[in-house]
Amino acid sequence: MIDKKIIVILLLLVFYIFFIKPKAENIEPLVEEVALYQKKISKEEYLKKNKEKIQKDIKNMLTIAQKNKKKFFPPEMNNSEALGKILEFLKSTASSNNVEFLTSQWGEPVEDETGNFIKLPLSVVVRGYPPDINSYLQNVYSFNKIIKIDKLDLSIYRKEKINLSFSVVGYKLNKKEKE
Amino acid sequence: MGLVNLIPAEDTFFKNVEIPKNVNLTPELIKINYQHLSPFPSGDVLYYKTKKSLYLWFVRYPIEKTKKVNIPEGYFIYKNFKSRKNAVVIVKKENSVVISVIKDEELISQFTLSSNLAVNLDERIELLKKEYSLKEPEIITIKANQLKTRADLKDILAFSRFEINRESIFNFFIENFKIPLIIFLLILSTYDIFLLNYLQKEKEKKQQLLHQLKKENAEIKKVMFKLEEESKLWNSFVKEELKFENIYNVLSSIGKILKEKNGKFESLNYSGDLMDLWIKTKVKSTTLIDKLVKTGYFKEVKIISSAKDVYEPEYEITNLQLILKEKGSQK
Repeated sequence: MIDKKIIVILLLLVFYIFFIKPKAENIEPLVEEVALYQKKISKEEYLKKNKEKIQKDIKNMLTIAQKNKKKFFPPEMNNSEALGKILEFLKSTASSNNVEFLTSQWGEPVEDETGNFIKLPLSVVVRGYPPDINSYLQNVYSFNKIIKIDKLDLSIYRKEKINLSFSVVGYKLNKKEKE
Repeated sequence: MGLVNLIPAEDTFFKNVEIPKNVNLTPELIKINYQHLSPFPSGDVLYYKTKKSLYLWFVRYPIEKTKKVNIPEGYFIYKNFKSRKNAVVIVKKENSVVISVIKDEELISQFTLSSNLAVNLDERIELLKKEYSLKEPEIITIKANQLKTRADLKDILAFSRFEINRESIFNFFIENFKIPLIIFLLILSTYDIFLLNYLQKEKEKKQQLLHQLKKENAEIKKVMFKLEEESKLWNSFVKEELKFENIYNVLSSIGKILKEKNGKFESLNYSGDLMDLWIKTKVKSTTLIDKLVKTGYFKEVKIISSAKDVYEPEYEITNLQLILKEKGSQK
């Protein structure tokens, strides 16, 4: 006759193998999952604990970011309007620096590689005495929007003046700011 | 609950026989060869081997072999006094007397008398002396409760009649470890269930806490995300479009160097990172290269050509190629 205790062992074994063991195999992944949650919680707790300081820092940084953004032409502005503003500035600066504004030519606006900006190119030829050309160039960079001179030719004109032709690029934001 | 089942001396009949040579003794072999010496036809036999002899204790009844290790009481009498050279040991029990004869440290005779027959013990001892030629044996008389009947591992192994097969090992294992095994399985199962439940609860707790914290931090995260977007926009712009120093600063530094060396500017053509410069200097144009490199604006400064000015021979006309360096780069 089979001992009752052996039946108990067998039942326990069956219970362990078919009921407990498959569940016990989840223990290790569960431990890892709990650890991962803890890691995420620690990050969130840090954020919560330092909320005020982070908010203050972010506010400062956002102010700078907004200031930087204002250095671009707004997306809602027409390309021609933006190019006109650049040209107007270059002309008025030439006039105020005793530089003769000879010609200008608008380029074709193009999207930059990131798709975030529209490049607004403009070519200009001016003439003047070296000190005036120097101050003119310096003042070109004082425009309230970011511009970049990406091509430039300087040559002597009749031994005393300088002919300056250059290409300038202005930038317009391509998309409306996300709310 | 001990491992040993003590077979009382009154239920056994002792025989000392010679150990057969070159024979591997097994319980079956013993039974076949010596059962005829037993006064109990339906009984069993227990045996113990010394260097010289084989001790047989025929048991009055069949003994169960799987339960416990059966050891005859007579063995313990021998074990208690086996160090004696010659001795007659009388163990007085409640209703009987067990007499054992030890000669040259060997048990040569052992028998039980019921109390009513155990009279004239001195005469019996004299007879035993003569029968076994005992010279001045020790006569030891003790009560049964003075006899040490605690079996050690050696005794258990000597009287264990295991057959080395899977079944006997399994039986032995089950017999001796079933309770610890049940306890172990119960503890293991309980521990696993407890741990699993604990981890599940812990996971749920942490999920809830994380959800709560995320909710609380949602606003600041939104702002952080916005800042990140703004930063990305600005950084990518600076990286792509403002990677070189502005051209006015570069031209100013070239102008200063020319002024220092009493040089003259002739022409300049600039596009992207490349600058083609024509200058007139009284000094060797090579002296300018070091100065230009030190401005930190150029990655490379090369002299493309150099020649004396035909109209102003004190001057040297030089064509330089300058490659602009990206801001922040070391090379």
